[in-house]
Amino acid sequence: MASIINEASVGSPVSGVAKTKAVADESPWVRRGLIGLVFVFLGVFLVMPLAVVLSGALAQGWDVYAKAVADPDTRSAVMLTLWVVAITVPLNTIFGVAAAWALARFDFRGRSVLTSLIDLPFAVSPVVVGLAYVLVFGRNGWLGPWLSAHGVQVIFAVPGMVLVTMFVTVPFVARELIPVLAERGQEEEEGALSLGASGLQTFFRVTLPAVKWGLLYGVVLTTARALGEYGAVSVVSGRVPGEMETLTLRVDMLYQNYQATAAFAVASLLAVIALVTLVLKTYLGDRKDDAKPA
Amino acid sequence: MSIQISGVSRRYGNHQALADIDLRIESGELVALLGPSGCGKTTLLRIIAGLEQPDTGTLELEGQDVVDRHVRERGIGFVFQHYALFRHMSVYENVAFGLRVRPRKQRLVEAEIKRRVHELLELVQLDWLADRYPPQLSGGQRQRIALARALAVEPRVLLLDEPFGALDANVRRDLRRWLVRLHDELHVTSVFVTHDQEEAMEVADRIVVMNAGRIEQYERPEVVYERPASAFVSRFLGDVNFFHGRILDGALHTEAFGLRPHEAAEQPSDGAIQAHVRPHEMVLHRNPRESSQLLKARVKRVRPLGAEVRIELAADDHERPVQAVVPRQQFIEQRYEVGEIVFVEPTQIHVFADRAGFAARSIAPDA
Repeated sequence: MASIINEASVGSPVSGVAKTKAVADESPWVRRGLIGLVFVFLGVFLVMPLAVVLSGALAQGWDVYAKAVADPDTRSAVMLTLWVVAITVPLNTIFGVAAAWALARFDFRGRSVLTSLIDLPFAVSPVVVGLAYVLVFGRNGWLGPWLSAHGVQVIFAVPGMVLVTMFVTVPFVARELIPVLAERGQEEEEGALSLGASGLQTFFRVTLPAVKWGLLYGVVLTTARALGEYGAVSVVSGRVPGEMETLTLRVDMLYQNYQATAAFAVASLLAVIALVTLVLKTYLGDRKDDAKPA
Repeated sequence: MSIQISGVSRRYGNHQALADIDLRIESGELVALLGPSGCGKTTLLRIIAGLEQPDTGTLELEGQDVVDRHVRERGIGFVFQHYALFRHMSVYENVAFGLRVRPRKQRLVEAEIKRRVHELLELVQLDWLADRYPPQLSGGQRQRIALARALAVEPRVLLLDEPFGALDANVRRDLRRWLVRLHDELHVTSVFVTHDQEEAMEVADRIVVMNAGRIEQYERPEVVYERPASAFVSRFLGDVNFFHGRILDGALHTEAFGLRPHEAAEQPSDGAIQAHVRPHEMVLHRNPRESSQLLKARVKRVRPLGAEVRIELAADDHERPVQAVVPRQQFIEQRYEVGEIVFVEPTQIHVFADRAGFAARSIAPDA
C-alpha cells in the first residue's frame, strides 16, 4: 500500500507538491530560472527582514539586548501574551473540534453558512474586529452599560484582548480538522460503538488519535497567530505600558519611542517563536500526511 | 439467537428505503440479504445492528424488543464493508478493543485478554500479524482481522456488510468458503449483505432477495433459483431469456414456442405473462420437431466459458439475442458453427404476470 502523496485538504500548503515528475519537461534553464526566482524572492522578502531584526537586536551588543529583554515592561508583555495564548488556544481548540465535528458529521440546514462563517476572520481586517468589539463591549457599546453595572470591564482589559484574539484565530483548528474528519468517515467510530465503547471512549480512543496530527497542526497555527496578533489587540488594549501590552504592542511602542534596538530585541523574541513554530509546523505537517490512509 | 423483524419501514426524504419488512431469522442461521444497490439491504442490516433507527416496526432479538436499545448494548458484532479497523492501533489492539472498553467491573485481566486475542487471531489464522498495523495488511487479512475483532465481544448475532465486496476475485472465493466453515464451527446467527447472487447462493442457508425496499422472496438458495417468486427474482439470480406471452385456457402461448400446456400457478386477469427461460435450460436441435413449435434461430457468436459454452442466437422476430449455454462436452460433439440455423427447445419455462414495464424498470437491460 503506497501512501497517497497528493492531498486535497485545505490549509496545508507545505505538502502536496512532493515527488511529482513533470510530464512536460521544461528546459533546464526555465527550471533553474524559476527556482532561482523563488529563492531570491523569499530571500529578499522573508529571510532578509528576519535577519535584520536579529542583527538589529544585537547591534549594540549582548548587554543592551539582555537589558531590553529583561526590562520589567517587556517581561510583563511576555507574561500577558502568554496569558492570552494560554486562554485562547485551549478554548479555540475545543470550539474547533466541536465545529469540525458538526460540519463533517452532520448534514443540517445552514451548514454551508456555518462553514463560511468560520472563515470570516480570514476575510475581516483585525482592526475592524477590534473596533466592532469596542462597539459591542465598550463603555458606550450595546453591552457596555450592563457590563459596567456588573463590574466587568472587557474593553481596555485582558478579557477584550482574549476575545479579539479568539475571533482572529477561530478558523485554524476547524479548518484543519474538517477535511481529516470527512475523509476518515464514520465507520471506525461506528465500529467502536458496535464493540461496546461509550461515546467518550470512542472519542478519546478512536476519533482523537485518528486526527491528532491534524489537530496539533491546527493548534500550532492558532498559537502562532495568537502570539502575533497586533491590529485587533491594539484597538481593545488601551495600551497602558507594563499593563495592557502584548509583545507585538510592546515592539510597536518601543519603535515609536525611538528605542530601535530595544524594539528589535523584543521583536527577536517573536521571531524566534516564529521559527520554532515553523519547525513544529513542518514536522507536524509531515506526520499528518504520513497518518493518512494508505 | 433468533431475529424477528416486524413491519419495519424506513424513509430518507422522498426515498422509501424499507417498506413494511417482516422477516424471521432462526438461531444459528447464516442468511444473505441480496439485492441491487439501493434496495434497502444495508439499511436493514444497520437497523438490526442499531446503527439506524426504523421509522416504524419492531425488532426482537431472542424475543426481546431491542428497538430502543443502543448499538453497544445489543450484543451484535458488525463487520464493515471497508473493515473500519482502527488504523492507529496494532492488529492485537484492534482485536482487544472490545474487551478493553468494557465497564471496569466486567473487564478481564490483561493475561485473560491476551489469551482471548491470540485465540481469536488463531481462529482467523493470522496470529503472526499481531504486531502489524492495518495499513500493512492485505484486503483479505484486514477482512479476517475485522471478523476476529467483531467476534471478540462474543456477539449473539454477527452482521456483515458486503464482507467480500472490496476483494480480488480469488481472495473473495477463498474467503467466502472459509466463512462458511467458520460459521459451521461457531454457529452464531449471521446476516450478510451482498449484491452478488453467486456469493449468496454459495454461502447462505437462506437468501432474502430484496428489491425497492421490499422482500421479494425468502427461501433456501436452491428454491430461490429453481422456483423464483417473481420476475425480479428470476432475473436477478442469473441470466434469463424472456418472452412475452399469454395464458389462455390453461395453455401457455408465446410467439417463440407456440402453444404449450401450462399449469398456471399465477393467472393474471388479462392473461399477459412473461416467460423466462434460463440459458442452460435451452436445448439446441438441428431439425425442427413435429410435436411442438421450436424457436428457429441463427448462431451469432460462440463463447467458451470453461466448463460450459455460451451460444448467442438471433431469432427473426425477436429483437434481443437469445442466450443458450451447453456443456462443453456437448459442444465438442455437436460443433455448432457461427451462421448455422438451429431450433431451440426450452426444458423449463418460468411464468410471471406481466406487470407493464416491471422487468424493464427493476433491472437494467442486459445485452
